[in-house]
Amino acid sequence: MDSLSVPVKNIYLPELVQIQEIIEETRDIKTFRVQRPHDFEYRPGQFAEVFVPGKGEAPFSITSSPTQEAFLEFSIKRVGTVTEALHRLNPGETVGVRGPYGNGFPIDSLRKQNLLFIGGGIGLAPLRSLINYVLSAPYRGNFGDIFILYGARTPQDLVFRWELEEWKKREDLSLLVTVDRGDDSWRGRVGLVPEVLKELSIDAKDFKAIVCGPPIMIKFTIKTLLEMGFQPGCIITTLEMRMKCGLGKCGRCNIGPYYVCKDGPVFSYEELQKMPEEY
Amino acid sequence: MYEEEIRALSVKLLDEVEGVIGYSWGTLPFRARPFLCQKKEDVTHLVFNHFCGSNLARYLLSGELKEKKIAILAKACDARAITVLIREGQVKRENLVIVGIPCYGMVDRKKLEERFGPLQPQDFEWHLDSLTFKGENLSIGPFLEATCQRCLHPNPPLYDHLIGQEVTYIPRKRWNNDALTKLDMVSREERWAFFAGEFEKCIRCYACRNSCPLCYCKECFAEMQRPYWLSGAATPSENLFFHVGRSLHMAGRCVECGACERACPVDIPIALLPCKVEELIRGNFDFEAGIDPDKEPPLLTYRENDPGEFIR
Amino acid sequence: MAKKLVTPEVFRKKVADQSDLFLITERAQGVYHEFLPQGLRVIKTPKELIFPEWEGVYRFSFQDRSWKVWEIETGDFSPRFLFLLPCEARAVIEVLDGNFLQKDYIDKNYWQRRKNLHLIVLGCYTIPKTCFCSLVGGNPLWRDGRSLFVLPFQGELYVENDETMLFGEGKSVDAREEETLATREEELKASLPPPLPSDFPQKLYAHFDEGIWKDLSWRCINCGACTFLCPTCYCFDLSVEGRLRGLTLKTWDSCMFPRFTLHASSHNPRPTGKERVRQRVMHKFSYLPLREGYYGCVGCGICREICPVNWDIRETVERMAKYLG
Repeated sequence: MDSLSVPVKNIYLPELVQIQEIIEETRDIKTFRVQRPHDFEYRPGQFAEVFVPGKGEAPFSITSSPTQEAFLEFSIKRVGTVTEALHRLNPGETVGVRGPYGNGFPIDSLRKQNLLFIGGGIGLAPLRSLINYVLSAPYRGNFGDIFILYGARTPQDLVFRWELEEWKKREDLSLLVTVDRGDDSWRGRVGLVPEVLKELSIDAKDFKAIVCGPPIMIKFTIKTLLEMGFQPGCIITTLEMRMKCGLGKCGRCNIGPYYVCKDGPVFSYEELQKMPEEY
Repeated sequence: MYEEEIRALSVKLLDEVEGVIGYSWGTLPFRARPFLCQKKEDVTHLVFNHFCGSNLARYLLSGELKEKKIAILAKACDARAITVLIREGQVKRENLVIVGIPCYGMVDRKKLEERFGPLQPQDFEWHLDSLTFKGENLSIGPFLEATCQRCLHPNPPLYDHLIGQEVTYIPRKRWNNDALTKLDMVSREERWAFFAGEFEKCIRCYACRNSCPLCYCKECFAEMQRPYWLSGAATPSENLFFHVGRSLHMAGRCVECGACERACPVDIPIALLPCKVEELIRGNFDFEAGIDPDKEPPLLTYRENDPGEFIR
Repeated sequence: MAKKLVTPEVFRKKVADQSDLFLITERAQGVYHEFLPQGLRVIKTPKELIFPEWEGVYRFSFQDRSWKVWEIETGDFSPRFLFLLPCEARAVIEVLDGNFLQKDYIDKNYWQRRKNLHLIVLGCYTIPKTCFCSLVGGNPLWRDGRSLFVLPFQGELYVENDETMLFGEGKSVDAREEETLATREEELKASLPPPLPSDFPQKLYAHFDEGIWKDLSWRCINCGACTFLCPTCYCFDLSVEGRLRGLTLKTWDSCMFPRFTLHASSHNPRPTGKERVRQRVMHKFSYLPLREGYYGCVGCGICREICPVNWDIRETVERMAKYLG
C-alpha cells in the first residue's frame, strides 16, 4: 500500500474523439473511423472500450492497422443497446475511447511464416488489423506467403468490400471469397468456409492459421485445420466474452483462470484445449 | 416432527416420481434447508420442523425439474404458491404429487437469540405449538416469524396426501401481530420515514426476489435494459422503487409466505409491503391468492364491461 | 515491532474519546463488544468503505454543442481506523488490494479511499461458529505484521504496531509474557482444522466438468446475498446513467446473476445455476490461487450465516476436497 505511487490517471475515463468517417458495410455493420487518441499505441488483435455518451460502453476489436497513424477503425455490428446507439451517430459526432487492451496477435511468432487468414462475417474485423499490418510496406518482407479465405452468409453480408478489391489486385497474396448462399449477380465461390478450406491446396507444415468468426464457424474451421495437419499451436483465434472494465478487474470475462480481456482475446488452439469449454 | 410419516410416504412415492422436494437439516444449528431426495436410502435426511421456512414451490421452476413428475412437501404457503403457479401455467398439476403439511409457523432465530442468548440446540425441545427451554414449556407464538404471526391459513388448501392433523386455530387471532395496523395508524410522514430508513439498508442482492416462489420472470424489471427502469446504484429511492414495484407486480398473487423477508441478509421487513397489498385486495375484492384455484384473480382478469370507475 | 500492554479501561476510554475516528465491522463488534464503547459506527463488511456498493467514476455532459467527460474525485478522506477481524483484514490486504491496486492498473478511487483507512486487526479470542479461516491458510490471530493488532491477554490488551500511540503509552511486554503469547498462539493454531491440500486449486480445476456441480448447485437460488456481503468478492459492473448529462457508475455485481456474462447476441456462456455456482467456487478456490497465489475466500463464514437456503461454501469445499482425495 505505502509503496504505491499516486495514481494520476482514472483508468475508467475514456478520451473523447471525433468520428471522422462512417462506412456502411452491410445492412447491420458499419465501420467507424475515429481520431486516434493520445498515446494510443496498439498491436493488431487488441481491442478498445468505446463509450457512447449517455448510452453505454462496449468493447470492440480495433480493425485498423497500427500503421495508420491518424485514426482508429472499429467495425461494428448492430446487436444491442450500445451498438444501436453507435449506428445512429454521424461523422463529426463524439465517442469516447479507452485502451488499447488485451494481448493482440503474437506477431513475433508469426514472423517469417506463411499466414493463412480465415474470416467469417464480421470476424474479418480483427484479422484485418493484422492483414493490413503485414501487408504494409515496412513489414511485408518479414512474412512469407499470405492466403486469405473470407466467407459470409450472402454477398450482401461481405464487409470491407472496397478493400477486398484492393487485396485481389495485389500479387503478394491470394484471396478467396466465398458465400453460404449466392445470388444472381454473384460470380464467386459458394460454400461454407470449412468446406472451401478443405479444398485448398495448402501444406499445413508451412502455414500458421489465424481464424476469427462466429463460434460455430470457428469450431468447424479448427476441426478442418486439424484434419489438414495443422498443429494446435499453429492455429490462432480470438474470443469474445462480455466485458466491462477491459483491465482484468471486474471479474466476468474469465474462461477458467484466464481473463479474455487481459490474457486474450487472442489464444492459440493449444491454449484453448487447456481451457474449460465455457465461452 | 412427522418425520416417520414423511419418510415412509416418500419411500412409496419414489416409485412413481423423480424426486421428493422436502427439507433436511442444515449445516448450522437451528436451520433446515431445501433437499431434493431422489434415492430411497436418502429419505432419512428428510425432516420437518419449525425451521423449514424456504418456500419449496420455488424449486418447481428450476429447469431440471420443470417437466418431470415430482413430489413436493407443502406447508400452507407452499401449497398456495403451487396453486398460483398451476393457475398461471408455470407447472402442470398432473406432474405433481403434493404432500400437504399443516403448519404451526416458523421460528425466527433472532427472536430466540434475543430471549435466550447464544443458542445451544440441546437446550431446546420442539413441539407443534410450544417449545421447551431447559425444562420450561413456552408458547411458540412470540418466537414465530412476523409473517407467521399474521398467518390466516395454516392448512394447505391443496394436497394429494396430508401429513398430521389440521391446525384448529387461526394464527393471526391467536398471536395477534398487528404490525400492519400499527403502520396504518401512524402519519403518512412517519410511515414514509420508516420505509425510507428500512430500504436504505437494501443492497439489492435480490435474495427477496430469488427466494420468492412467484417471482419467476425471465427478465426482471429491475435488470431490464430497455426500458431502463432502475439505476444500478442502490440509492434509497431506487431501492424503494424496486420494492414497491415488486409489491405491485405481486398484487393478488402474493401468498404471504414471508420468503422475501426471511431471505433478506440485511433484515429489512420486506413482507410488510406485499402483505399490505394483499390486505387491501382481501378487503376490496374478497380474494386471496392460491386458496381457491377456480376463483378469478381480480387484478389479472379482463372484462369488457368493467365499470373502470377508478380511471378518470 | 512495537508491542505493549494496555488496560481495558484505558483502551475503551481512548476509543471513546476519539470515537469519530473509529469504525467497526459487525462481526468484530460481535466478538469485541465488551472491550469497546457503545456508539461506534458499525459497518457490514470492510469493503463498503473502500469499494462501495456504487460510486460514480466519471461524469459526462453535453454543453455548448460538445461532449465533455471528467473524472469524479472521491475527495481526500481524513484518516480513519477500522476495527476488524483477522479474516476481514486479510480480505482487504490480500484480495481487494490485490485486485484494485495491481501495479499495471491502479483503481484511483479505491486508492484514494484505501490510503487513509487504517486497519486495526482484532485477534479472535473466541471463534465465531461459522468461520473456517484455517482451511484457507488463515488463523484467528492472522495479521500482516504492519497493521495495528489487538488481543486480550491476561486481563489486559496486547497491542502491536501502535506507532501513533492511539491507545496510550501502555507498558512494555516482557520476555516471559512474549513467550506465553507465542505459545498460546501456537496452541491455538494447532487446535484448528488443517488447511486445504496445497494442490486443491489444481485438482479442483481438473474437475471442472464433473457431474457433481449439478448436485452441488441445486439448492442455490442464485441471489447475490453471499457475493455482496462477502468481504473479498470484488466483481463490479460499469453502467452509464443519464442522457445529456450523467455519469458512469461502478456498482457491485455478482457472478450469481445471469446478466453477468450475457452477450449482446443473447448467448450466455454460464446459462444456468450450475455454471454460476461453479464459477463462484472456482474463482475463489482455483482461479485466484492459480493466478495470484491466494484464495479468494478468507473463511469468515458470513455467506454461510446469511444464505437464505443454507448453501454452504465450507460444506461444498470440504465435500470437494474429500471427493478429489
